[in-house]
Amino acid sequence: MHSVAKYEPYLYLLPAISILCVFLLFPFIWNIYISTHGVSITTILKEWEFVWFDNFIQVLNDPNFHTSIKVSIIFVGGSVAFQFLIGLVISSLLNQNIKGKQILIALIMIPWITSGLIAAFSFKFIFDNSFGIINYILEYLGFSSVAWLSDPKIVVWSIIIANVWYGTPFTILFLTAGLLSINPSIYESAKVDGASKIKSFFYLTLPMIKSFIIIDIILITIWSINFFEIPLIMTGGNPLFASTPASLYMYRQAFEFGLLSKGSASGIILLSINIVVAFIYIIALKRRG
Amino acid sequence: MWYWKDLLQEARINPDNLTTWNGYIESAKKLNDLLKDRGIQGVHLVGAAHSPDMWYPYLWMLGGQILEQRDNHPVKGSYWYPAFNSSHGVKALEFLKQQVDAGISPKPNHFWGQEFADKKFAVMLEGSWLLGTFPKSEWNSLDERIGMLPLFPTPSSNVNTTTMMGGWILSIPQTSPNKDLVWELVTLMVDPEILTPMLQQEGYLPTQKPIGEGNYSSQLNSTIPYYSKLISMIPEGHSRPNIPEYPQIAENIKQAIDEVFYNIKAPKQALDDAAKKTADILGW
Repeated sequence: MHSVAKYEPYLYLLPAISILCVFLLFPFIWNIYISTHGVSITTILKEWEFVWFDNFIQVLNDPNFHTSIKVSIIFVGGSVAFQFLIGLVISSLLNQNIKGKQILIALIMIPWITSGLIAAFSFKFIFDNSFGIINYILEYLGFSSVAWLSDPKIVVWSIIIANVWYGTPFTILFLTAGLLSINPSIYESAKVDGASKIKSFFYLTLPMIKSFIIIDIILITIWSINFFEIPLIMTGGNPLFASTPASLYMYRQAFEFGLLSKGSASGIILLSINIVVAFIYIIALKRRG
Repeated sequence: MWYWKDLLQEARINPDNLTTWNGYIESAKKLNDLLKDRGIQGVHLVGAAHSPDMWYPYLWMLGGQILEQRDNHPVKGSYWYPAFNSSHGVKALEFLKQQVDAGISPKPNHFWGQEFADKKFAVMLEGSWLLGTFPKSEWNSLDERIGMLPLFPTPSSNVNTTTMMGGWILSIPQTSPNKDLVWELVTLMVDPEILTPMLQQEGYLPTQKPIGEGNYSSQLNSTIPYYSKLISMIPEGHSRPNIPEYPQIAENIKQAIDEVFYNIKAPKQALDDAAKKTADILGW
């Protein structure tokens, strides 16, 4: 009787753990297995040859993968920086006593509830070099049109803008929840002690929502690293791989070129990058106190 | 090649001028000068992911090939080897470069003829599906407004045009447990009685003789505008290599085209680099 009670909590966890094993652990191990074998669309029905780390070496030696890592750094860096800053500003504004706050929050959430594909198609039309509304407005105002989707130096910023539009509502929602968790009396005490609103924000608000900030930044970073619908639909990674982040590189290897092992190897490299980035964030923010 | 008759008339361009490379570029310049302030561009140049498809006809018409069979493959004995970087390929790519140099900008988005139907371009190289972007009610009178030349422009009038064949391939997986049923379904799908109305509806061309000849053909001819001109291109059609490595090869060619579009490499260098990568992919 005593031993059953001891293991009872684990039994309750069993359904959740089983689901995790089937949908997370098994695909992960399967992915490792494929990445160490020579599997492509042409060999999928044949015997899979064990190739050690050949696929990883191929990926790491591919100049297009190097380009995609550079694009990922700009894409993720730009997306996270702008999503976080814009999200922080808007959530702070929403935390004030303003009329129609609930309606504003609902409106701001629209991009988040929109499908990533719809957002990508919308921005593809908005940024179209010839017929997009942005260039129409620029030309109407007397400026030259911009090759948003075909200039290799600009295209990554076009996909960042689309991703920021799509992802910022999550940061707003998350940080708003964090701001609501702060007891308002703390601000009143700070005011009595002579703290200005800006000082209160930097020395009270930010430290008190630190845990929300850490989780938000980790999540939006990982999502941005893995997100590929927007570049896939808006540009297909073109021109010259200038809008191909590592996630899209992985997708194209596996599902466009049929190189399943190379795609799996890129996926594992991407996962490792995710883990490293998450650790860096956590350690950096813990050190900051 | 589709064109708006009124726009060409306004620019005083004889449609026959569009049939040669030089005439095509000169006409594009004239049209751009006349129409750019109205938001209309002279000619359309594909810069999207499938840009190689719009380059192949120029390669083929010069006598070039995408790949050629070669002996002494390390594993397969005889196998495909890149041939697109021949002098024909270089000349074909130079024609695309001349277009860019003449101010024709490659379009990263391709709306498959909708941009032409919306009158954003005066001239467009596009498949027969372009017709599907016009309302069916206008098909009978389309010829009054839209001109069609069954060709890609050629280097000179004594060079024959070519075009690219596309479409779909129906296949039965080796692992299919119901191959007979699949075969029955495929047979039904390509039955002229069933397929012809679909072709009629979408403006697609027949892919089998029983539809391309006789009664079914008359049915299509009476419905699809420019049908006889469109059909006349079938003998000039070439196809892309039907091998598993093709998507990667196309990606390399696409990269070469982009490198030329963005002035990063000269056509020969870009194609040679793409051919080297392609040879690796093909196991040479």
